[in-house]
Amino acid sequence: MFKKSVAAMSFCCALGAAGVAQADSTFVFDTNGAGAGGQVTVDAFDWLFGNVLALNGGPAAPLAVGSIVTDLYQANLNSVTLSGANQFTNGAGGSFFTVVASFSERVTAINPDGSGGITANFNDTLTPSPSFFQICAQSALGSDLAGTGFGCANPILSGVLTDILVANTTVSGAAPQLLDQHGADDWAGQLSVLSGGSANLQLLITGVNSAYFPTLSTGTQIITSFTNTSLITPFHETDPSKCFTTTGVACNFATTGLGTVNGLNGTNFIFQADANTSLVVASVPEPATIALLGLGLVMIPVLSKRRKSS
Amino acid sequence: MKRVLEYFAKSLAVSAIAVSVATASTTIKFDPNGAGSGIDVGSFDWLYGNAVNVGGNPANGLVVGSKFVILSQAKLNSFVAPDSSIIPVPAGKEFTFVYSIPVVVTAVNGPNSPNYRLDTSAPPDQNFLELWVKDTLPLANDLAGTGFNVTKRILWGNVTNVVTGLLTAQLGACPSGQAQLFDQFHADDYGGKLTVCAGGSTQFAADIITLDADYFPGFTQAQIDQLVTFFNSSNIAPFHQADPSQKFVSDDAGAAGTPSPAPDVIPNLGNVNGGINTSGPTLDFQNQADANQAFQPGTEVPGTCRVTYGGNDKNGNVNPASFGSACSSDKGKLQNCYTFGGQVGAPTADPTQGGPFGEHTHHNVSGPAGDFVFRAGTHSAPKSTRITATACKDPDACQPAAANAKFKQIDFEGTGSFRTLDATAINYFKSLGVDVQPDSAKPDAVYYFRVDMDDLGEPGNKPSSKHPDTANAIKFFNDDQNNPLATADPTFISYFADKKTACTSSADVYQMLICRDATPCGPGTNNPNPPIYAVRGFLTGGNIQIHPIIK
Repeated sequence: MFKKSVAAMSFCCALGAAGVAQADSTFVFDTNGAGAGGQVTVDAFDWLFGNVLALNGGPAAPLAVGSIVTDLYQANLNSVTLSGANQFTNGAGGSFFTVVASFSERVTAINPDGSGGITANFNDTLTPSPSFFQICAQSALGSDLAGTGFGCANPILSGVLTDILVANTTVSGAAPQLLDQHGADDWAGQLSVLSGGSANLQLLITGVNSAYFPTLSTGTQIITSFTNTSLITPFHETDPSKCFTTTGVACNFATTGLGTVNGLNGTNFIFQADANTSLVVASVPEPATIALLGLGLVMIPVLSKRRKSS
Repeated sequence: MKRVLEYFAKSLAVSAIAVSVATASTTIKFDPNGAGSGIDVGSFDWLYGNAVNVGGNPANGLVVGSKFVILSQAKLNSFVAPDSSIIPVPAGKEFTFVYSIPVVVTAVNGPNSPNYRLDTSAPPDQNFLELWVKDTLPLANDLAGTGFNVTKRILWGNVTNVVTGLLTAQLGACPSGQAQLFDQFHADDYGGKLTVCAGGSTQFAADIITLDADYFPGFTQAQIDQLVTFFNSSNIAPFHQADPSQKFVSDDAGAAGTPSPAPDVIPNLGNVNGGINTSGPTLDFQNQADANQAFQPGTEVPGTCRVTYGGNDKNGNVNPASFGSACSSDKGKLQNCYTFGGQVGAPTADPTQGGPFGEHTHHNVSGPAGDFVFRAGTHSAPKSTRITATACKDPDACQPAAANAKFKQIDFEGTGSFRTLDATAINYFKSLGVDVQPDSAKPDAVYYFRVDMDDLGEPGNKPSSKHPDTANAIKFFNDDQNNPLATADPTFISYFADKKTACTSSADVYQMLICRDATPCGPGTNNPNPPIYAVRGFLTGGNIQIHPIIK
């Protein structure tokens, strides 16, 4: 607990040193969690097309500047890569991995897109809000349509949201189409607006399972995750999920509230998402260093005041 | 803001009454080994790659109406089966894409934060999507920006619609509002270059013009004609999962698919990628992109057509059943002999959408007019050359020619320029009172041209019947002059006893004329404004294929 607190504090200091960024890291990923035979060195997770359900993200929420939207995300892994080369394909050797996440965001602007549609921008909530990010080891692929098999009680990596760099969505003014255009329509004619957007997120990793990540430790390292995703409707590459997890453990929230046209007249808004994740690993500074950094932060306003007055 | 939402909801609710009919994404047969067999593939998941908005950061920022071109390139991560299981790329193979999409800004939500849609008035060479495969080293290199369009093209298409396009690229989006290192993927290869923080996405649809049968086995031309591919990509900065590319490809490989143009665009990002640009010059904006792709049967645009073609001929070849040695046996070079090729009408021949588009090349190889190359809309042609109009005529296709095409004839016109001319060609045109020079010497000189083509069955260069009705084929040919597009052409089948006889009696027909300047001229020597060059004949070699237009 103490180590996590130290890590979190250090992370804040690192953020304070604005403009200074460390390169994304390589790390060992043990694909079977059992040591020999499964270890690969990687630098990124490329997630398969998955789902995002934006609770209170539909126009009927109602959506307005200042509104809080909570996003639930789930997807299967496609592969883990090193410098763009595939090191492990999901399902190889019977090992499957999924990701689930939840975070809240605040609407900062809603504007016409110039083509008969609208664009909404989002940012962090003004007050801290619960969030989670979890990678789970599974025995099979999660079911996109059912929305099951994504969460877990014991994630192999977990984290919390620390910054929404960019989050946006634009809804086209074009005529709505079938929501589920991936293979057969499993949504009985449910319609959707045409939309596109993205989320570019920064997270603090708060826990790792050393059996799967033998070179990572939240006790001795500050691990930052950069995760970004596209958001589109209608669904072309996977099925819209009928259930999500609000706890990260298991499907517990049936997808409802989409209205007759997803993104037009519902309180919730479902998107297809395609994300990827990388990690930046840094050593936790020694306590003396933290004290120095803290002192430095304290002195910044003083020095700034002196500079202004001079 | 509430008013914006209410207006949007009301207007879209009205359009919801006319719900767009869309078919489901389709499973396609694809052979990752290129051996001509196939497995079921539902989609392609591309790796983190690159995109650059060329002209995306102009002096004083983007405004509504600003235009830029999105160039993007990436390697394939994997194929995805219909059940979402992963199909890895075979060892030793590498699949890549390159695309170019001209866009116009429709709204601005802050500095360098535009909404955009397809710029349908852009030069056609700015619009392409290509998939490539190679099985030899070196592999594509994200940092260098090389190797993304080499060895073998397996898909060629044109973007027909940017469904949604938006980007938020602002300093204020970065932690503490501070610019970040541009290249955060492992070592910084950009010497400390900074960037604003960005996020956005581009979602587009593209018509497919060609598919390689080794990798996309079993597709008939009719199926290719009906196939649309959907692409969507996230766009972020700074780079975390891939290196920023130092170069991009700005041209496709044309109708022939070879040679592939070398990467030629070096992004000019200024001091801070996406930073406020107050003094110019126009800068670019570069971002990391992560795309995926699916396929879907499209719907035909009624009353429209496009054409792909290539062939050779001798002017005045009026015998539809006697071919092959016509030019080579013409020792005196009494007639012009020529080759031609291109594609016209894609992505859309709808004038309201900015079409027609296309590229046309005509090479007069020998004869009185000498040796010259005339082209319009090709990637190497001046931007001022353009195919401006098409006319689809003579409803009902000859079978099996373009099985689902709805027309047998297509005429098109535009302005083109001369790429090369030998001394014979220059003197020939001088004798007609026109000082024609290569466009390298006269860059602003463009000339009106008009083409009249007939797709009269397969194969395109000879009748398929053992006893063709040659006499009526020649009669039709004599009546079907290269007249202005608005002039009705004779209907082919009306010259024959029945459709079957008609469609097995004739080779395809190609006619072309060039005028003395950019002004349209008429056919025939009695016209007060005759063309300076005109040829026509049944094809000696090659084929003309008319297709429907799909969206």
